[in-house]
Amino acid sequence: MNKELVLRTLFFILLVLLQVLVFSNMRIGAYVPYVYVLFVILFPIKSDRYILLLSSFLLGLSLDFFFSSGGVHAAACTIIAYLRPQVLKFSFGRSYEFQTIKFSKVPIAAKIAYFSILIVIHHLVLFLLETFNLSFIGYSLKNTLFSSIYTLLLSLVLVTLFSKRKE
Amino acid sequence: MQQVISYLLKKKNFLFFILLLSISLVLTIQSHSFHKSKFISAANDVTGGLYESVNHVNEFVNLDTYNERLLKENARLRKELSNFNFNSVANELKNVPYEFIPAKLIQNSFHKKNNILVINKGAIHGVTTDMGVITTNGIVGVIESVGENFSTVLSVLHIQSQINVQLKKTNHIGSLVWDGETPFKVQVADITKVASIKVNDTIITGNYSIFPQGINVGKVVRAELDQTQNYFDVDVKLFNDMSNIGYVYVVKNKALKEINELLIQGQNE
Repeated sequence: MNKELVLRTLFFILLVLLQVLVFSNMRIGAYVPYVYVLFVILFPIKSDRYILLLSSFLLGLSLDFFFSSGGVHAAACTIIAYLRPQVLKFSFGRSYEFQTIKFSKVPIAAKIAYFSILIVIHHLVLFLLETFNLSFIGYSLKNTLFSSIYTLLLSLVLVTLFSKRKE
Repeated sequence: MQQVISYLLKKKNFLFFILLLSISLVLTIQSHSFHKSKFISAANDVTGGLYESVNHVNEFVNLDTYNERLLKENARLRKELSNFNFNSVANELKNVPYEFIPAKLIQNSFHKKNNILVINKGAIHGVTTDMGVITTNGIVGVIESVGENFSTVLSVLHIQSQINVQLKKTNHIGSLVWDGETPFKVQVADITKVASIKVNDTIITGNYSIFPQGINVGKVVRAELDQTQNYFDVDVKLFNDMSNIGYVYVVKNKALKEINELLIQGQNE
């Protein structure tokens, strides 16, 4: 339990640093990948829901401090943390109910579905709240689409690299 | 009562979610309202310190450009100074109401709609909110929130930014805003049709702003009457390259304190 806690905390800090120092500077045009959502996506399935909610909220809030953005990242993270069980069920079906999923061993289609649903919801909330103005809805939707694709590709690459090294 | 409690216990995850979501939404709404001290900002020692240490690399790469800019500014100032008689100017300079605090931009941003920048000077260096931030070439933005050692700047490339400007030629005033389209063009609103504004006219900071009057802002690239035929739609190209800012000056208006005190006195009487 304690080992798990230390690992999660390190992963948390690593993702915040990587997001601020690396991913935010990997801009293509106006599109930035928000790879830090991997924290919510890869959070252990068996853990308590309120721990996931709280740590996702804190993760978003830390990024809000770095980007001086109020609470937009916190809101987006909290929402995907809350919706995660439903998305898991939708993407992985029965195996989720037995809680036996290993992210490195699930079929690739289900994995892409799971990643992309959470990423799109996160980015949509993020960009809608960022402008907080319906006259910029075109901007929000366009950014959601392209940033989501970018985030998804980077996340999948990172996850694949990371899990291969583990074996 | 017991039923209510057991119901709440069953829904405790949902309630916790609503609590966290409301906190984030309150913080978001607060960040979108003008003239409020912001709690969530990068003007603290942790985020500022990290940005500053990373910025050292960036500074090294751009050192040549920054040096050249400084040389050009010095040359320009020397030329202006050579027109004056030193003794008479020295006396006048004592009465200049502005002070300039040099600072370094340690975090830039220009691709979002709400661009907030971070500089490495804060409260202990005399920075307070609502001070103007300029460079050698033009204006950058307005101080938004101040920490001990760092401050954040609301960039002119922020959809809520609004700065009093005027036409250099005719002194007609307007306000500098940004429609969020491209970081290369900003807009001037409220220029009336009597102002005969043309392409290539220069826009400078106005009389009623936190900036000293007459600081260069940009050049008009498009000026057309709007649908009502009463006001101009004006696009301006900034003199500043917002993607490469480097060193800045924070403008401290010493007279502002006096003016505010007078205003408060006037209200009390």
